[in-house]
Amino acid sequence: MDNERDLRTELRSALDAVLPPVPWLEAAVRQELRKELPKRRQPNRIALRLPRNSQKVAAALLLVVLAVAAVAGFLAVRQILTRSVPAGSGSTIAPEKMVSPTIGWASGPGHAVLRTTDGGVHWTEMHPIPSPGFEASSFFLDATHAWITDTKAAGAGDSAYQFRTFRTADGGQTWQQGIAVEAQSQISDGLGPDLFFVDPSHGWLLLDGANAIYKSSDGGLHWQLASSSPARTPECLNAQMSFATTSAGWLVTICQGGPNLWVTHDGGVTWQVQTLPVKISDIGELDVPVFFDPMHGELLVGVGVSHPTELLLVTSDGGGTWSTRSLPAGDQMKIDFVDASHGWAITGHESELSNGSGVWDSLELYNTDDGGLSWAPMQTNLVLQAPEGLVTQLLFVDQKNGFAVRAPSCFGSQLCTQGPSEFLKTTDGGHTWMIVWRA
Amino acid sequence: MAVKPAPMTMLDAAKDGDDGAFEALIRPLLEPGYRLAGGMLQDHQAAQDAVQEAALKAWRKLRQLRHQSEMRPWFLAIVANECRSVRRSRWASVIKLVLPDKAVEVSTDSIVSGLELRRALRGLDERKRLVVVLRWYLDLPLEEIAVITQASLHAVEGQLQRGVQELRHRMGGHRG
Repeated sequence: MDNERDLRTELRSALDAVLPPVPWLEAAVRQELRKELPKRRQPNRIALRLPRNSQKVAAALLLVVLAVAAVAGFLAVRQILTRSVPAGSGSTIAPEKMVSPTIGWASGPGHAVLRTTDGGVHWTEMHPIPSPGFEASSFFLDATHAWITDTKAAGAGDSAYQFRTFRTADGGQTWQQGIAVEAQSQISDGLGPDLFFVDPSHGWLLLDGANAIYKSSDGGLHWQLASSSPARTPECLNAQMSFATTSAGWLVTICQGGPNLWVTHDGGVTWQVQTLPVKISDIGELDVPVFFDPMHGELLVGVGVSHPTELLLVTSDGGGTWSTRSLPAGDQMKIDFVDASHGWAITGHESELSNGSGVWDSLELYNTDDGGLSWAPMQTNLVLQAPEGLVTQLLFVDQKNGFAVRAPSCFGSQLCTQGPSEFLKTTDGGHTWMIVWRA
Repeated sequence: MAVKPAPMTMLDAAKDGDDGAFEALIRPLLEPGYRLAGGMLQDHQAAQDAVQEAALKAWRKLRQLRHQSEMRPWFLAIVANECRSVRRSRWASVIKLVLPDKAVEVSTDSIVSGLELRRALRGLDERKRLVVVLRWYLDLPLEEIAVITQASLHAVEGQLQRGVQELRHRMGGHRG
């Protein structure tokens, strides 16, 4: 008994040592509450802050567009407000997908969607959602098709929510609103909605708190309930889903015992546990599979809990079987594939500080052209790690063209860097990089 | 006989959109929320982020709360979920964008002293770690832990027992 009391006291001291009092927390929460609505949930995105300038130009453009929008406001297809953000205005954006060397999509605060047609030099900011609600999710399929879903309280009932989807099929010039899904949130807390489309027509909407998966076959204008999540209990979250075809898809759930991967072969109606060449109980972290075509995909898993070792799994039969591929020696910070053969990895050494935080060093850029059978370090002018920040995002478009984000970073308590954000591009597969803009 | 309307509670006011009432309700829960997140994540910056995000979620979903007395377990359950979701994908979230406004200096000596035990705690699976932190670090009664984890009292007792055993084992088995 004394031993237990000692251990308990020791545990309290051990945790107190890394958790200093934070008297400003209350003020910080108050501040966050003040700017709560509208606010976009962006748990997994790296954002950039565009440099400030041209605010007057942007304001003038906004006035012109407002005038146009006032005229077009009653059209069935809504003409949305846009403004150009020419490397300026201080907007915070999160590049999400580059679909070509010139065209890409990003998201911004207030449920904004941004699109570039000149390789990231200028971004057009759009606000498809009138009176935005809270937690939102966007999905960018190609150069012209994009969707965004937000969450609103549905009025009646304590747990009733509306999930409104807006889609564009013309690169954001017009947006159509789908019929909203109304659902009861069964769990007191949950993740925001998650969207996935395999083509312009077929998509799925995962509602974690409502424990439901909806599907659409008309581009998100109408949704039908496909199934309940296979694993949603108070102990589990529905994290993310992806599909390879209109029938084959995957769902990552995170339970208190660890993550799990589920597979459907009937478009999300029924789900089974996905067999992997790794014992599921050994998996500490799990990404959702990424498919390049109906047959070929990759999946990253982290084996172990406290310091997971990354494994790359690949499939060439539509997810029926998965095999292990190599990764560069070290800890993987970022991995990006453009097809089943060509991928890049930023790899280094992640050491653990005594307060449990991680810090990266010895970062190198690697590439593979055989689907991960072998990796080679690249000769590159890309400075992966500088005092002012880290390269944290790779967005390759094809074997030659890609983009990277370097942003200030903050690991643990004493290792925050403060420097400019940079958006960089390469046209030779990652050997030479040039700055598109710096803020 | 005329029926007097029930007085409006702080929770009712908060549900009606009174952010001042919400702040009054949430204020005493921030510190336990921070300790819970800190125990789970062992990173005070990440713990602050988790509590802030949990507070926003609590504000958004306040309509789901029936009684004011249930607020603490309800909020701590949100914090626990937040701790889980921030770890959902390491490759996608290795960086935090926002720099902290305040720098915190933590004594190196005190950090080193509990290193072994913190590592052992991190090695527990999430369910056991949550129960151990709630019981041993926040001193919550088992009944409330059962509400937070939405498990039976019996299950909570079992998790705690196994968690402590595992902690001892990971510490080298020399602690009895």
